[in-house]
Amino acid sequence: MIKQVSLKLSAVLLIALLLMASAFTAFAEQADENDDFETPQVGDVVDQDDTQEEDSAGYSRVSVIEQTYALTDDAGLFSEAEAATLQQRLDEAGKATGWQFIVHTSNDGVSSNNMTNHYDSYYNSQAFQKDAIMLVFDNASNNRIILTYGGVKDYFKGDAARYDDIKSAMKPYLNSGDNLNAALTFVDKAQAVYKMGKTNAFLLSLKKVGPFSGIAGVIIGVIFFFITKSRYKNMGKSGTYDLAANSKVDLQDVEDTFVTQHTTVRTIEKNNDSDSSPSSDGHSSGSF
Amino acid sequence: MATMSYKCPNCDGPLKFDPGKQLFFCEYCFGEFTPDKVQEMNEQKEQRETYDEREVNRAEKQKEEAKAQGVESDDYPVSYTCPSCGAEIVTSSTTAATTCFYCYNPVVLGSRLSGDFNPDRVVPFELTKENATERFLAMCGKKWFLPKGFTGKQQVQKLNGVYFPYWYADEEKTAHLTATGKKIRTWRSGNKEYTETKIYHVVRGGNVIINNVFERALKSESRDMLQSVHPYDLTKAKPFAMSYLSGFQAEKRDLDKKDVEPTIEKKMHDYAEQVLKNTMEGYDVIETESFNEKTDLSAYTYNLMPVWMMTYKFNGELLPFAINGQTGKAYGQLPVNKGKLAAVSAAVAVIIFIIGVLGGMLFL
Repeated sequence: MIKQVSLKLSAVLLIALLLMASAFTAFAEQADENDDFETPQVGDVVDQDDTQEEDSAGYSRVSVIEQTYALTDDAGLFSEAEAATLQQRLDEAGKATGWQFIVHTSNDGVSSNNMTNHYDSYYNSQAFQKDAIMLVFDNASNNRIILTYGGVKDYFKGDAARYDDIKSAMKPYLNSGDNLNAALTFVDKAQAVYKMGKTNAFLLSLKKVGPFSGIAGVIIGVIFFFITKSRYKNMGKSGTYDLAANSKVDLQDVEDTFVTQHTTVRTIEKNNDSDSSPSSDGHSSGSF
Repeated sequence: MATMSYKCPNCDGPLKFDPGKQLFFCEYCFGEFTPDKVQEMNEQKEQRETYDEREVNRAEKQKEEAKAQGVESDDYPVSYTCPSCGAEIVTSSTTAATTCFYCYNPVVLGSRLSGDFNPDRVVPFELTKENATERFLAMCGKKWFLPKGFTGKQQVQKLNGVYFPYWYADEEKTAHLTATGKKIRTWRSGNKEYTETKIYHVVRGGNVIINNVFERALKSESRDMLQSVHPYDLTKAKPFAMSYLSGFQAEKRDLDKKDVEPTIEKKMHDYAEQVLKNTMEGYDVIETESFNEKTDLSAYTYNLMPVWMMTYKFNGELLPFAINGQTGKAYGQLPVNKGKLAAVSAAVAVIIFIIGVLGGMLFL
């Protein structure tokens, strides 16, 4: 009797286990399907075997997102070896700075005016880190842009020279089509900016606004000097004679004859101040 | 020399005019007398003392001596005898009233204001020296860049009550003005702005009376200063009496009517045109086509006007400061401590610079 009960219980448990196992398998399968989302999550190591596609030229389209770096080579500009080299360098720089170094290539064909907006949207659509610097190669339009986010902005804010320095260092490689060295130079130079520290708002303002406010200060100071001096020199010169109080008139001849009239028309031009061109919030290098 | 000293009938002390009370007072027995009373008491004496042949001869002699020494202007030194202490005092030839430098008694040099030089009217001082000092200090209090010590006691003591001579003119004219008057109206409709201009032929003619046009009668003083202390309220002017000068300095004129007539006539002409223009109401623009006028009546009077004034030397320059002795209106060229002003101007420049840089920090 006890044996029969035990057997029945065992069978129920077995069935339950089988059901649970099949449910787990189904869940696991679904989870695998989720891994194929276009937006990989940080920390999920994307199986490179799944994401690397080799094109006819032998270049692979790597898509890796790590805590310290991301390489999403949608345009397939880097070979497998180049991608590996770049990943290693990106990772080193990311670890050294605490930033996420992102290199993204695409064939989106975005015009230079829209690069900032377009790739800001791309950044926002991905689960990148908050403090990040991103180099974008738009292979279709042959435009590139460097974008900074979060705390990284503080290292570039107001100092276009830092962007310019990176861009000019990359230029020779870009001109010769050496995308790997261009990207490595970007990393080196960006790391150098990190070492330079955040831009000094005071020094920056001193450099940019200082000359103008200095000139304005001198002009206002000189005006103040001469106005004050003249006020000391010419006191009480006005109001010496009140004509109205000291005159009378007895009019004997009054004539107001209408002669002619004319009307002129002027077209008022509308003030078109609403320029639709995108404005940078200070975190874009401008496409190059 | 014919000098007048107005004495108190009670104690024989010197009488001075008190602008605050408009009375003469004796600072020894504190007696107070109306101007009419003082004039009545001194009428005979004034007539006797204001012309003295010896004085005229002596003045002429002194003038010749001055010319011989190369003094070209009429402002040559003249000596007189103080009627109180007998001291020999030297004044400018245009001085008509002063204070004896030895006994400090007020002295009126009557002959300087007699004959052709007898003023028609005088506006007595209404502002006391204390009032004038207060006005001076109040005005200086607002000025940060005065040299140190400028408003000190020594400076304030230099404030002197002086009667300055002026020519005043009243005229009645027949004037005729022809002009183009424009009435301009502007309005908007959609993106169009319309400007309508109506043109009128405007004529005004009639009798114009202009009173109290003035010009200084003393060329030796700054014209700017003498003209700028105006206006005075001529309704308070009194027929001239020498006693009003007691206790003050007074200058006699050294410019004749013919000297100032062209200037006054030019002003009269311009004022007459302005008076007629002022009757052309309702026009936005008035352009004179022709204006002509003829003087029917003209009256010039010689007047003495009260001024509290001081002069001071600053950086080698003699600067005048004057307060209208009737209304308190101030005129002057105040000295500027250029070093202090330059320092503050530099501070202003630095503040602007700092604000600019701090603003840049916020907005960059």
